[in-house]
Amino acid sequence: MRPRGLIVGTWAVAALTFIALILFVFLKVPVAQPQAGGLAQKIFYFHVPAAYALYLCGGVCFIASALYLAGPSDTKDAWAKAGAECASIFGAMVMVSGPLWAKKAWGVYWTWDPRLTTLLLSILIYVAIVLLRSFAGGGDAERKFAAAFGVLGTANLPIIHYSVQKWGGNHPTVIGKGGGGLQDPSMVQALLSGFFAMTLLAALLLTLRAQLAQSQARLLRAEEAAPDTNG
Amino acid sequence: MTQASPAPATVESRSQEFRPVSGGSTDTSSAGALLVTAYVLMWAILMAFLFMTFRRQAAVDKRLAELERALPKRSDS
Repeated sequence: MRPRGLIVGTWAVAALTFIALILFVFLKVPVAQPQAGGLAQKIFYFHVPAAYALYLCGGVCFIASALYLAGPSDTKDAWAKAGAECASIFGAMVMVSGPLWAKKAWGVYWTWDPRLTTLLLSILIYVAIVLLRSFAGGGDAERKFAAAFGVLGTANLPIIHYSVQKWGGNHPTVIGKGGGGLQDPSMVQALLSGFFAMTLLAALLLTLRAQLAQSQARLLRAEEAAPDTNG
Repeated sequence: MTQASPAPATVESRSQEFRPVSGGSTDTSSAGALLVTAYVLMWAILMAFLFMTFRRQAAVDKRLAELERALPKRSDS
């Protein structure tokens, strides 16, 4: 039995947190210094949590892919597929919001900065997994190839995180080693709320997509069992 | 000759903190537009993904129900 009440409750909490966060960010959180993008810096409160959600979904893709390679099952494959799909979506959110902030802070939408480049590479890997699963069918070989790609692709995630500290570039280091941090308590509150809301959202999206992938696998098997009922 | 990139090149020179400033930036018009654009695009991506997910799930559920209805008929005949 599906824990429907829990899922509906989580959706409600996530939606309310996002609404409250948007109001808080626009009405209460102060504008940052011009070098940090000024008003455009407020993109940060969704951009960074979206990047974190990408890591989270990439982690799910990695674990499920590794488990699938160890012992294939529809459930593991569904979670690996869901992880790659959700990582692609959060990656798109990061890639849309980041350049809009960079235009204000750096004067350019894109630069081949180490973090930006490694992040783009990771997103392209997840998109490749999604495309592979969408167009190459759901056979055992395709599933195993996608799982291997999911394991290898996720190896890039720590490189994204440490690239900004090891190789320099333009990307700020507000969080983590070397960063000056957020200089107002409301900035910290907004960021933490963003992490909380994005964690809920990632969990919900992963659950939805894993359910869909499992239903699709069931449908495939049912159609194989009853080929003359098509149409 | 002008420099192509206005961005800082070293780890030390880039922005490492977000400090609040009184009154905000003097050039907020384009920043506001960029901010709203970023939020709208992010939510549009999310909503499109959710819409596609629910639509696909409904289509798969419908097809599965059709197959379940068809299978007993085949076994009866």
